[in-house]
Amino acid sequence: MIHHVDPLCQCQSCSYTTLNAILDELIPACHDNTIPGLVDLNASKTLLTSQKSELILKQLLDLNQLVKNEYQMSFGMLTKSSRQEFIKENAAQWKRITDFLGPIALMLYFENPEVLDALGIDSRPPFPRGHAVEQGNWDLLEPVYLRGQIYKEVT
Amino acid sequence: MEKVDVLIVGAGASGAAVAWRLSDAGLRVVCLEQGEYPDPKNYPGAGYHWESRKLDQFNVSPNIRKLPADYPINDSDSPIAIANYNAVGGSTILYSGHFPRLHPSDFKVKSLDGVADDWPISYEELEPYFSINDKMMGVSGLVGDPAYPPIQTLLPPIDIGRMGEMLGKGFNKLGWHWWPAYSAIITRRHGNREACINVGTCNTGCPQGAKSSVDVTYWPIALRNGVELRTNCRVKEILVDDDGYAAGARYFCASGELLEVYASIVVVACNGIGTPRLLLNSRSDRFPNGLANTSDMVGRNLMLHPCGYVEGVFSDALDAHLGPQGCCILSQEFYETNVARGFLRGYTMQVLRAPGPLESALAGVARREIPWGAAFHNGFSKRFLHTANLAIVTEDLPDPDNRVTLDPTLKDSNGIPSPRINYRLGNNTKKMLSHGLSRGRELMIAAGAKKTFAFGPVRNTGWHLMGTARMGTNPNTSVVNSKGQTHDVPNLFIVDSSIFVTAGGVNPASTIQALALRISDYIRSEARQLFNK
Repeated sequence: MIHHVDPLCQCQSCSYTTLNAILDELIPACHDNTIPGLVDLNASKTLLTSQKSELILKQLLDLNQLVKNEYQMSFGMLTKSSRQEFIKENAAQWKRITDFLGPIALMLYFENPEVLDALGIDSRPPFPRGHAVEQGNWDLLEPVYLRGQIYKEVT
Repeated sequence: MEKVDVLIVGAGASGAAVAWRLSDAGLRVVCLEQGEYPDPKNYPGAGYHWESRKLDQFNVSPNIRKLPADYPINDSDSPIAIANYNAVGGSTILYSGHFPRLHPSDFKVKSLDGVADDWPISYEELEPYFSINDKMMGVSGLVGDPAYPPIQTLLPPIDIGRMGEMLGKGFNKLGWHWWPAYSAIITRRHGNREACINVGTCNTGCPQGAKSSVDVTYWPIALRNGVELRTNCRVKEILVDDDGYAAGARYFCASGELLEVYASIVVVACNGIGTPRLLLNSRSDRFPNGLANTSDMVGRNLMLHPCGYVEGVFSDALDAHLGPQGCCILSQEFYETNVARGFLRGYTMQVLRAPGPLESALAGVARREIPWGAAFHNGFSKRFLHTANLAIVTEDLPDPDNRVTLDPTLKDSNGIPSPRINYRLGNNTKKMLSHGLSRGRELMIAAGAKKTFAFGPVRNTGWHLMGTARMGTNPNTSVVNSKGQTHDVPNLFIVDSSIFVTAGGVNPASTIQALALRISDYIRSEARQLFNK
């Protein structure tokens, strides 16, 4: 993959690199790799080809503008520790990004069968099979019943 | 000129009940509905993206959904946003099916507590219609509830699951009332509908057809009876003849053409927002302030049941995300007035099922309980499967300044002025809500929660739209009489929750439909006289 020197470059490759780095800061793979991260799901490709791609690219540009001032490179080119240092020092700006990208990323993540399977959640549509639910113990209602009427009589 | 016996505007909970009851008596009925007949195959629960579709196409807010059937609502001056659904079935398509009745005391608020007004009818007068409606809809629950007079028309209760049982134990520890939810969800085969299989996506339509939305209960029978249901037809105004009687309606059909239909009797069933909107849009020389509005009460006294949310996080997995979303158990420990609490009237605690993984994650992240980064997975696993949820449904009292008016600029796709909402919580409601949130947290702790969270009012919960064309005996202070007949226009009836005098502290659907059936019987008995006006 070719990365251009210009931190504000928005070619496909540079955009993917920046977005992958962001997504890796949102939901990385689980430490033992039993649950995939957003990057493992190729989420960048999905997001950058979605209807929201222009808005996402704008977010990447704004972020890289900030990063450039400090590090003279794009967010995607930073080391993991530099990224986290940047996030810590620019909490308000980072929150703006997570407020925008977070919900979209969560939708992608929790509707991915690979993720649901890894989490032990049924990834099938709820219908037509439905689910089994315990009936519950009706004997627990005994004290409620024995207490007697609690509604107000009206004449 | 096309003229029918009865024109119904709106095919939701009340319009459907009236369509069935009147067509059963042989009346020729036409119903105009701005939405379509929904196809259960298209409900989110039948596909993979069942959670994310709830956020857009099946969003509770028409302002977000923006479907062709929707009209925008300016609710920016209200802490509670309006929720609805526009289709055959109306908001029953998305409702949870939580189906408790109003209590006997709800009809006598003024006499008992010195606030608001008494209804001009009683629980006892409505009881036969509650029973008919339960049978027609298919309602599950458990007989013997000490919070109600006897109710015999119930199918077996729905499964309450591990979470319901755990909270039941918590209620018992505190000595508080609880009971399996009254649910418009069938637990065994009912007519040609199959029983609930815990699909769980009730709030985006039930693909199984087990949730008793009126598209699968009243409408199939009403259509067999010969009711003509015209979908994608939005009513612009109700027409009035030279004698001041309702003559029919002018409406936009699917192609956008403006048509008219004439009727001997007009029944408005557009809910607590749509009904005042339609009446206020139906101005004429005789009714310059809107139809049936000489009292200036149309649109006033809007009540919304401000809702609180309580959550408990438990160490054990509760599997609370499985089962009907809004139906599990309920408590009416704090329903009747106890002045020592510092407020009048009361509320219901409605136990909810927990959301699915996506909604759990969205809420957890928004509240910063699930952090981004390496700790994300741990944060998620501590919440998902481990939460129990509770809604506090409070009774708000009528206030004439809480109202629906016409927005001066906002219009729907047909150019019809949209409603504007002005709503504030009264002090009594604020105290009640605060009490409910505290008691909810107490319950969670009693049930074993290691952490609790509560807030209210919850914004996107304005489902219960009541009071905006209130019932009463005095034409100066009410819009309709005890039969749903408008004081100003004898052949114009209102049958939806607009006519509620007070709100009670329970979901209104059961009472809406019982009222609609009672009004239908009056129309049936008086039809000849009304036809010969």
